[in-house]
Amino acid sequence: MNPPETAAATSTQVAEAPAVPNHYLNHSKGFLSWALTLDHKRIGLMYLVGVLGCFALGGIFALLVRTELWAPGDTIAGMFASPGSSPQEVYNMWFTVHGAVMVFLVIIPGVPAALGNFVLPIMLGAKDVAFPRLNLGSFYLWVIGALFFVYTLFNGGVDGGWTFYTPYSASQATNVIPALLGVFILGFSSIFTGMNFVVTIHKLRPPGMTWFRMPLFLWGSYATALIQVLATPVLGITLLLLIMEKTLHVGIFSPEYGGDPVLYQHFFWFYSHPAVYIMILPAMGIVSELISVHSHKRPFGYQFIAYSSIAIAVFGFLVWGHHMFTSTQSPAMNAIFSAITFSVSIPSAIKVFNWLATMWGGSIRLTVPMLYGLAFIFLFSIGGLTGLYLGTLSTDIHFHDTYFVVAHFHYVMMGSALIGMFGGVHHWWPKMVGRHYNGTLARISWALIFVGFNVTFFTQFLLGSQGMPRRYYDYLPRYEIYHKISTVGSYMMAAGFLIMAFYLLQSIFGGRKSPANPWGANTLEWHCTSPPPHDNFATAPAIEDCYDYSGIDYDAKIGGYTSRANP
Amino acid sequence: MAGSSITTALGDLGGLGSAGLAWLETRMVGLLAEGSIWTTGMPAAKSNHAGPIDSDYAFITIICTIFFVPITIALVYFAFRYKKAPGEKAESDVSHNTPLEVTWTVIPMLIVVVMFYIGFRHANMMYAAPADAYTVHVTASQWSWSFLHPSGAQMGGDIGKLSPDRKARETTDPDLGLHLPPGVPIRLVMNSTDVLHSFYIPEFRVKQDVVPGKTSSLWFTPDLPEGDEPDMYWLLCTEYCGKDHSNMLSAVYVHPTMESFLQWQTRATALDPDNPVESGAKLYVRKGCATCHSVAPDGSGPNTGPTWSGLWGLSADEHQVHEGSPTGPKRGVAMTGEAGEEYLRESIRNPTALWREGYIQPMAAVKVDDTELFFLIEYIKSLGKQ
Ligand code: HEC
Ligand SMILES: [Cu+2]
Ligand SMILES: [Cu+2]
Repeated sequence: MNPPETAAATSTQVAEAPAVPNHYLNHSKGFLSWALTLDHKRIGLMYLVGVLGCFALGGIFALLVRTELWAPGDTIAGMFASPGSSPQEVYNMWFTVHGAVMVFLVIIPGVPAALGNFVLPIMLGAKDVAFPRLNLGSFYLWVIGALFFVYTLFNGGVDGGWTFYTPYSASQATNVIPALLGVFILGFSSIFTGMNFVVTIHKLRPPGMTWFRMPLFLWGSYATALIQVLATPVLGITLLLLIMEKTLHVGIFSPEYGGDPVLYQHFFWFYSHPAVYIMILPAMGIVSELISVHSHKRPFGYQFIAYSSIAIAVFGFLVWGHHMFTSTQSPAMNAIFSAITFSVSIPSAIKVFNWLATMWGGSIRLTVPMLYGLAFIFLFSIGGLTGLYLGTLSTDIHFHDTYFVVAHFHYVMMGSALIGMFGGVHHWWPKMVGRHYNGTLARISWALIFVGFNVTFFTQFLLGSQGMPRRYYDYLPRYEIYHKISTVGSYMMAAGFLIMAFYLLQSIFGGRKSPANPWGANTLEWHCTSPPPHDNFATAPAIEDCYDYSGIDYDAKIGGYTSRANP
Repeated sequence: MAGSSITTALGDLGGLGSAGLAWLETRMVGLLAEGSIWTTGMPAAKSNHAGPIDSDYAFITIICTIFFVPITIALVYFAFRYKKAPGEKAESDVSHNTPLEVTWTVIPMLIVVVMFYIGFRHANMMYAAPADAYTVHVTASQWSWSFLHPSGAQMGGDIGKLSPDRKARETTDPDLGLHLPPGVPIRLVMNSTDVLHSFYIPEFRVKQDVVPGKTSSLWFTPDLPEGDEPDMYWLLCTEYCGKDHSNMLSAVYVHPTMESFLQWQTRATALDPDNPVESGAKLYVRKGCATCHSVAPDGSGPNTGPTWSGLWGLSADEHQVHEGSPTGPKRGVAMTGEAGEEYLRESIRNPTALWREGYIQPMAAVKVDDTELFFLIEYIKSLGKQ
């Protein structure tokens, strides 16, 4: 199969729907038609299944961690300890696996690779990504990386925290090397996806799709893809150096061989801080779509939002040292990193104001995706504002490496990145599978997740300001009450996610059929049938203003919207 | 150095800002004072650094509230105010408003400049200790703290233990832990013998990583205790360091008077030459050996290192010892001879030279002088093969 070409046709018609609609799901059948597919939609869907599966796995470990923390002393970890190990080692493995799985297998590939793959080419008006084979390759690298993680799980687990700080990570006998190799391979998967998206957006825009006509999700994805391509290699280098040190005893990070442990932290955060933006930028892109579509009003300050994505991506490379204010980094470096960190907070604040202004005067439908969009704005505001305490040099000294940081990054990585992703899943689900999920169950599940999330993590801000350090198996009894509340919240969230799993699965088999445009959106994917045809567009689509809702009318008979200009 | 000139430059710049800030601080003094509602959530403030940090905390909390409350109100209000039936068109089609957007960019920018500056200024006060500070050398190793005072008094940390009803963590011995004289600045000079650790006392608002191969330091002046008893705090390790990271605590005492501190110092250094075994037992605790070595006949207790119970006189077969250390170059030569005087001296003085089978990490070197070594070995002998 060749890379899709963008025909320069001018027809505005989408392919006539045949009697039994032919779409990407029933286009071909059999295991191989999926396993070897080059269709970005199928690859996206496979990614989504994988990512959600890993989310369940990471979630189980989170629940184990929260349950252990119900009371000081041993709670449940002792039951999982084998004769050679102690409960605290079991617990340490739990939080390491939770963190590594959630970061490397769920959030980083979550939006770009799963939703981005499905949506990006259609939104752009292309038939596929620029390099479909590379895309499939990226998926298999993800699978192999995931298998490395599963291997370590069944082989005694891995310890060290998802940050794998040296010299501890280099000094111990657990499966650090297979886990790092897994992360290394996942890095390549991420680079492949990023490269693919950059080239697709540069080269496959159909005539008329100028940069400033692109939907904001594409701007977010573009900024993300740039970071993936530029930052991930540093992670690869770091991990190789670490593996070299561990196996060949070359002195790089371990003082024992003449290395410097703080150097590792520089390398690690040079990737991992931008990685925070790999997680959050695409979710911001989704939210820009959600708020505009479900308010049926064009995004307020489109250009500001678009530029702020790029600004965040650029500044994001210059702030890694804010993770190291207490690491023996020099005072001058601390000051510089603190100053630059504050500058990143501005574009994030601008986005929040723009989203609110988009809602102002709109025609808002409180659909399930919109509820996720609103939850995102609320949680992201808390996540962003609490970042101010950590960027300020004096207060960070108190909060660093306490539950305050844990709460802050869960607000940003789960409350924002993942909630944004779930907003996207609920928004595009009718497009992906052609069916609606049960709205009532979805609202109950949303409420449980939203409330449960705040109960779990807001409490952790209090824990952190009281001085509870992170990664503690046991703790001073003065922290007990907060831990109890936090654990209860985590069970509420778990209930919410179980309900979500139920109604999403149920919708595939028994859901109401979705019209092409159930939400009244005007970006290109909603002009295709639901689910979209195999090659997206029979002829190159006409590119109009994707945020002009004036020509989109509601049709009660089909329970969806139709477009006057582009029926 | 380039770094320090930047710091001075920033400091000069700050000179301009500090006039404005002084004004701001006098305006807000009531709001930012210790114990105001804006410092809710912070632990008790017990050192000279707590005041500045808490006032920054209060300042940020006020700013956050000013932003967060209107955002949330707008979010909820808009969601209901502009809720419409399907198909209804939006009331407005405004696409942007440049003056508004510039305003909400510039105002936060100004605010974060102030925020950066106050944080910078207060953090700078925390780097260099006053010249007259009382210096304690802190050694961190997996998973214990040890404190060496200028008087030569050395004390291991006290990790305490959970009370049977799990409602409190109790200290085990009031002489263990970090003891501090009242009313003087304290400077801690810190080294790690193995991996990263971090020294943290929430009530003092101090935190500093302890890095192997480097020396780091921090300073603070603790508040004077109100009563006649020393104030007790917990020192916590906040950098993940492996299995017992969460047990790497120590009690910290601030003495109410110099006499009380000196009494402790006398107890901490006193050894009775007529009673070497008892002195050895004291050293076992003070020097921190107790955090890794068990002395119970059934071998229960800490087991990072081999138990001392029954160690004395083990035969070469029972006592598998190799030259080298598990992580260093392994020569693997099995030692012959029993666990006697020479072997014990060598393994305490030069822990990486000899390595006992089954222990994955070598022991950290602990400073002991000849007399102390004698007492320790007498103590190990007394626990000898029964
Ligand atoms: C951080 C934990 C730790 C501390 C603190 C510690 N040790 Fe050890 N010790 C070990 C380990 C681990 C080994 C076994 C590894 C080796 O032989 O190098 C060991 C071995 C020994 C041995 C040899 C025992 C044998 O069976 O071969 C002696 C004697 C000893 N330590 C004495 C001391 C004394 C005296 C102190 C206090 C001044 C002390 N240790 C403090 C961890 C520790
Ligand atoms: Cu960061
Ligand atoms: Cu630790």
